[in-house]
Amino acid sequence: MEFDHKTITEFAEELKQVPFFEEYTPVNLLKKIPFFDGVEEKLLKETSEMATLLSFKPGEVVFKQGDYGDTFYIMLGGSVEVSVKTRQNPRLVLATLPAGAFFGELGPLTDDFRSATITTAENTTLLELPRNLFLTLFKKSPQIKERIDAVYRERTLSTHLRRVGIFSELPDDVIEVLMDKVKLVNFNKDDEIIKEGDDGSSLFIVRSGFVKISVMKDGEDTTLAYLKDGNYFGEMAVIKGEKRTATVTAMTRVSAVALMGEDFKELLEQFPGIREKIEATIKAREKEAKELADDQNKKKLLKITGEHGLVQSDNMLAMDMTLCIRCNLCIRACAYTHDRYPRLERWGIKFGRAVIPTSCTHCNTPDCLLCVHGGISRDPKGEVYFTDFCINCGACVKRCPYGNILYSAPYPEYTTTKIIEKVKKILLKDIKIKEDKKKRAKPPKKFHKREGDVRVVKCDMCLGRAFIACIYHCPTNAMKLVDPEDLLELAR
Amino acid sequence: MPLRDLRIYQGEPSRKEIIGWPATGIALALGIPVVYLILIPESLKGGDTWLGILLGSYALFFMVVAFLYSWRRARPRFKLDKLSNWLYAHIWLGISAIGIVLVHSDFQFEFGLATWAFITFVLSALSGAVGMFIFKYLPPSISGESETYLTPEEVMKEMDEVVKGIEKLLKTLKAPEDEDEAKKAAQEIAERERKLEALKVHLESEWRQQAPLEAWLYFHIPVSVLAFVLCVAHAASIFYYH
Repeated sequence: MEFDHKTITEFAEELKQVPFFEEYTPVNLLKKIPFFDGVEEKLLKETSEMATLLSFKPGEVVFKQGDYGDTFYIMLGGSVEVSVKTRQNPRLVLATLPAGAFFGELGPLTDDFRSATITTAENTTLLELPRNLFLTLFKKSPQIKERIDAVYRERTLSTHLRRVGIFSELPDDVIEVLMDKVKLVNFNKDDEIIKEGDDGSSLFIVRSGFVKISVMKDGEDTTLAYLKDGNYFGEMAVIKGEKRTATVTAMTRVSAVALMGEDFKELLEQFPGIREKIEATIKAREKEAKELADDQNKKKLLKITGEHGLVQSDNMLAMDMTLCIRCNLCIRACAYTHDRYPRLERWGIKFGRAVIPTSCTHCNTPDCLLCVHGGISRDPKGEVYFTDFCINCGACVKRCPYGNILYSAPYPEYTTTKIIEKVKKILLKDIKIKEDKKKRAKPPKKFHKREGDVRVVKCDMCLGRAFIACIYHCPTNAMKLVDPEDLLELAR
Repeated sequence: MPLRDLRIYQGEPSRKEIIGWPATGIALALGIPVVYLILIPESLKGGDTWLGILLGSYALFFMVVAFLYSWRRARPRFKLDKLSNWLYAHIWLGISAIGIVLVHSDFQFEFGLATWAFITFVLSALSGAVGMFIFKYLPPSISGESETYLTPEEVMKEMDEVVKGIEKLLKTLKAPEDEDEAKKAAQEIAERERKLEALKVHLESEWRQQAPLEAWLYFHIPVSVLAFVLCVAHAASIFYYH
């Protein structure tokens, strides 16, 4: 049966048409699902209006490992396979979930990318909960929180440890033993995780977020590197038995796995292969630190990418100022591609001949996703965009630490378009055009009217379009899409 | 494959731009005259033969395509090819049209509409070459060493903010609570005035440096329009003569 994204409310309305099924109100339908046992009716009513039913055929992928997603799923029927991609195995099946189970909780809870691939094993029906609904239920329903917490740790660790390079080759039984010994730890932005000169007793593996590795040199805090998910730090002090050689600070909200020194040493004795890999990493890091001492450009690049959040982005816009002819066609193209509201401002931080214009860097852990209205969401490929739930309140403008969400005034309409619209009004004034009825009701919207028709906007890298307008419309190829690491090359 | 992965346009010049259009332009501009001089018999030479008219039509067609660049530039929603490809087509088809016109006229010029059309077209091409030179060599020299880059519009916005700050402080200065407050306000006003002066100098310097990037267009565009009008008039005049 195809459900075509119907909400429970809509489904119940259809059922009511059959006289014998009149008693099936939306709330009663949800009460039949074990996941909602004991949940209060007010929350169930909200769920019935926002959660949607989905149907999948066998072999279909619900979501892929590595995609960004913020929806939660409850299995109403059928079964799914949970698999991960490892170095040895492109599809290692970790578990099969039956009807009544749930998955996808890590996305909305951590804003992290999906840690596994979910594929249907047979005809499957799912109930999809959007992020803001799931977080409301998680916060307000103790029963749901308990159910989620019970599986969170086990699922998080088993999939995450497999993704980390040094542990990916370990046998399953060793991973299970390791899961009992590690601790899940969370840090807020700017927290000091380890401090240079302190005693070191544990190794940390970054699960999500970014950390900055820095040392004090000649009274100056010098950044050595940034590490993101899948990387580890703290190994030098544990292996060599020395004091901490660097300070590690959380650049964003960071979730990490901590492994105590004794357990880690035991693991190294059991698996000498891991010891060799770690020693190779230590040598490489020491070499990088020495090279960095002489490379002023690289030091400056690290400072800029950290301070302005560029380290979080995989791709970002950069302008080559030796090619830019200041024609502003990039901004014009952005404006006319987005209903006359440009998202790009052609000014920003400068690095050599490159300028990073004010545009969204689609952070790995975006602060703007904390929007309480669900006005900002993330595409599976990681692009952050405004949704229909945005009410133009501007809270995200203040929340973005890099000033990349803007108030934008509209560009004037094309003169020819104005003329065409006037002619249309005169010719078609007696003809009423009927609008198609939408199948699903839109969420209620209280649009905050701003002075001068200004709107809150951000760059969405032209999501859904075949090309990025500012790059496509630059006559001298000055506007480019670069990896932060390529910025050094561009700046020379 | 997701739509985004098909987007190969990441800001690097394409092969069409680096090789395709230059090769096409040079081949047409030089190749056609060489072929004309070596291979074409005398009976077919001249602007009023069928070959001459055909070549004239090609030249006019290339001019129309080159002219379309300004239309494309004003249409960001138009999807057919990157703007930089259109610019290369504009440059190289325009240059090749000169070679074709020389051949169309059999390298002979008399005082009249046709010659004026050719002269204005060559002037348009030469001013375009000046523009290319300016676009190539001016931006690197005005990039500057500052930590941030501000457009003139942003500089003006900042100046507005500074002026608003000064106005607020002047109100405080008119009715200060005590002497210290007045002194502090006066010092801040002096500082902001210095900042305003620095911004003004920066703005003037930016405008002066960036002016050539637009100035050449005040010659190139009118001359190109005139050339186009004269070429169309010349093309229409053959119906009058024939």
